Amino acid sequence: MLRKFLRIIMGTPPVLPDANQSPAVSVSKIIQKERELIKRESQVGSTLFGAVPKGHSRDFFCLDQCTWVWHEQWIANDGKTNCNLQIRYEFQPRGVLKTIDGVHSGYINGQELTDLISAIQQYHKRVASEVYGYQLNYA
Amino acid sequence: MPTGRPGGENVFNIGAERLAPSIEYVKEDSSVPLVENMVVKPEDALRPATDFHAPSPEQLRAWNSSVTEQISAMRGEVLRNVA
Repeated sequence: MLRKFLRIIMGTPPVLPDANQSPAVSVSKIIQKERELIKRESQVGSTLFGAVPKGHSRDFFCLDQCTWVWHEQWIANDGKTNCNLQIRYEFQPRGVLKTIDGVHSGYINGQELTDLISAIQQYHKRVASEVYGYQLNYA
Repeated sequence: MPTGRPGGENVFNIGAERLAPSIEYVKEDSSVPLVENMVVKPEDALRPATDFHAPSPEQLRAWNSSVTEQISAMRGEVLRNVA
């Protein structure tokens, strides 16, 4: 009512926030912020394995409570073909299931499992410190 | 595979040449035994040392949950301030 009145007398858009619009705006802001945070985490994750080669982009991040994602993108030797590799590691009751580009490739073990756990530990420690400002003591 | 990479390959060893330093880095920094962050059941303590480094899927899952819950809590705190 007040908004309508102001619009009539001032001929300008409403100066007060639109009560009907704010929840949606707020939700989209949160979603956007969450994406930003995951992106920042992923940037930290991508550095856990050394320098990313020129022409490559790499992401490593925690997608949800059970899933870790490794993603790498690069241009093939022909200079044209865009290559992608997405690997998911899901912590399941029977073990850690590896899925490559959507195809299950079995439960990991041995060195790969050890490396994954090390990477997660590093991710946890560094993301806490570099993205959220916490210091974690693992030892 | 369209990526030209063998399907069963350990992703952490992909392109061993370029990832080798990084693998060292991960290993050096994670000298903490894996089991330190896990709940050790009494029966595990009785197992031989060689078995001690092979956590069960349940232990792995519990450990991962605690890590991801903490990450999620840190994200949540930032997001609450945005709302």
